Amino acid sequence: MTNNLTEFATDADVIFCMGTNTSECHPIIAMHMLRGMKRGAKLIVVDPRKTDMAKKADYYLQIPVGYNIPLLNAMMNHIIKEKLYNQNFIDKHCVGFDYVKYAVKDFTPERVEEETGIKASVVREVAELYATSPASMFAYTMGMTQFVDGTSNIFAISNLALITGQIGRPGTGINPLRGQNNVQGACDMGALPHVIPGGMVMTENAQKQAKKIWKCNLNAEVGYTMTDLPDNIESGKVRFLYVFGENPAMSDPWTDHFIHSCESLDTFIVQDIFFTETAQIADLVLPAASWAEKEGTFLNTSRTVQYLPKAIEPAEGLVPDWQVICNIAKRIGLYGFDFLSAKEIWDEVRKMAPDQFGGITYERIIEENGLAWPCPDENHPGTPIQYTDLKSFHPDGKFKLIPIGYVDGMEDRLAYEEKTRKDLDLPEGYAVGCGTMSEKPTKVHPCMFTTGRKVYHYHTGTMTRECKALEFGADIMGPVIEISTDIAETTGIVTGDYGVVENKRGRIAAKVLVTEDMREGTIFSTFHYVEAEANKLSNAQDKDPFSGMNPVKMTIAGIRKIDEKEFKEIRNEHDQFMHPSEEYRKVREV
Amino acid sequence: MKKFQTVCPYCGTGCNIDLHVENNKIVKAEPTKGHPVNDGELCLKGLFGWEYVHSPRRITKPMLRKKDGVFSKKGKLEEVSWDEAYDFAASRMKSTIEEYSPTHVMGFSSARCLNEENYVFQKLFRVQGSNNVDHCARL
Repeated sequence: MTNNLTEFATDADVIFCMGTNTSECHPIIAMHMLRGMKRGAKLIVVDPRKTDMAKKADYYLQIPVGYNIPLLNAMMNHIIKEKLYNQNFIDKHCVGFDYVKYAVKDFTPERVEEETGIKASVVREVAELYATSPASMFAYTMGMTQFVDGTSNIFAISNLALITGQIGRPGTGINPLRGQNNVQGACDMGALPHVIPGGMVMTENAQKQAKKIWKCNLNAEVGYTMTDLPDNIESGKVRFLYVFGENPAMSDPWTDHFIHSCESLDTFIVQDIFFTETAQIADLVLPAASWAEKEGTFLNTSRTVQYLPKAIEPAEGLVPDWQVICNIAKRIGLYGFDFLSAKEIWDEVRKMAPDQFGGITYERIIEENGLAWPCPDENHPGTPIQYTDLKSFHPDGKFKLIPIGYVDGMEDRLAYEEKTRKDLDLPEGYAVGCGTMSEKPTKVHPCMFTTGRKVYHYHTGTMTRECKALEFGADIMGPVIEISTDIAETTGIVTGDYGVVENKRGRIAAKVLVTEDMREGTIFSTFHYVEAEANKLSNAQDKDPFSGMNPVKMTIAGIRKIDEKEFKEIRNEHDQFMHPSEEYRKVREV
Repeated sequence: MKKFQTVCPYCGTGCNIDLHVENNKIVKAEPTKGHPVNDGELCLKGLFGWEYVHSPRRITKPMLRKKDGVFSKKGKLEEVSWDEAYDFAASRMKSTIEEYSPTHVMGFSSARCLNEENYVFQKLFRVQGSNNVDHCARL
């Protein structure tokens, strides 16, 4: 987040939520938003599903799955036509306003109405509200990023925030709500193929810091992404895989592809606190201490470093993950893994990235209840709001506006980029984004299948399914397939029926819930439950050209009604040791 | 009974929790009063999501896939000593890099583990010449 999450409550006049089911996935952030509404802030929600927040919103726009760029561009089209942009901010701090004008010219609010049924007048109203309010705060999650045009979606949000100058002040900014407790930290600590604490791997600073502190030459070439991993294993480019604290055998799109590819590994190590679905297929399983059993720090979605004490002793023989990792490193004979405490590691992080973390000591984190980076020295108060000086990270300090288009199919993206480069005579290396649908419904797979989460559970359920209050509180039935009313009509399925959702990648079976809250033609399920796990169907073949992300939120599928016998057959195919559905079926039958 | 102020292990909001601990067991979680992030409130997962720490299904011993007493891809996972586990991990990582190249190893790090753990994990790969480190930010 560019801003602090409490500003939803205290500062924002307009809260714009797109592709976030905030009250289920970030309940306390939703609380701050509702406090903001009580203060008088207006809430706009854009989502294919009419979520709880959508029901509370002043404006709700039920877009089709993936219809993000056309809507954002139409808002900008209206803002430009009515001259509601912030001319002063654009002149002083941005480059590329003409590029945005060019890119959005064909996207009118009327076109949105024609293509989606959402009234043009509503598009105009929300555009005006966002552009003209004293402080508009944009929030999004994976409902914006998990597409083949995820990066372009975020460029479009950035364009909107920049041309209206909604950045650098309390209650504004571009705010991804992070899904896992330490996603921000994992990114900042360099658990990404292109970056270390200290910068991108190819930069002079990163190279210098690695030489100085790690005493090694840092490879300047960007590594492989997780989304490329299954193909890289199958082609022999990756032979050793070490997974720690995650469960990709459920969380990766098209899970069967991932699981199958792992068979070709020479060595597969999994380190976890449970015998997860991924651990079950590993060669070596390493246990570790859990969250409450070790000291250290997390970084929350507001870039705030927070401290965790060791509250309890782990079972005998268990040590924190960092000790397991260091022990392996030392046996290999590597230099620089003789840490005696988490604090010693953190102090090395501060040396690696002094501009970001230099002033953030354990003592200050505890005393000040968390500190937000950048915080370069021990007298620096931290940075809850970024860009208050209205300067970007680029060398010239200007914010770049990126031309973002939208085309009919994946194959048309390149032509759009080439034409845009030519028409605008863009400088070399300037980004051009382009949205499109990764798959379109067919006769066999006429529905749009999208994935998400429920308030009771977390990710692949490894932790929450081990908590009775959550597992049984969620729903005694376990997983549910939600469908829109038009699908219910054409298939004859009613709430409570068993259904199977299938496409070319896989199938899942569960009880069906017919809901009026969903955009027509849409099926929804979660990836919390191994016995009916939505990612079995997710598209892992198409990718975002910038990030390599797969369109997990957009997959075509078909659904049909099945009887209990077939339901049980399909369930038995999917049952695994970790969370066998048999246990929950027994509960149901009582 | 002891009380520890900690950070929730679930979503990225970073709510602060007071964990009540008795005889080395967590017995209750309460929102930290007056904390700027969650201001004395918690969601369901924050209030009830700590029980997994004491689950009987936690694993406590390393396991290696073996057949007839030696490592085999076709074997079954068997409990081994930490010594054997560390030797296996270290020797396999080293030999893969020597036999093929540093880019033939890959690590998948964890967005639910500590900063310090993510840091040493990526360092393990990078000091050996591999940038093949990712985590599930995308998923």
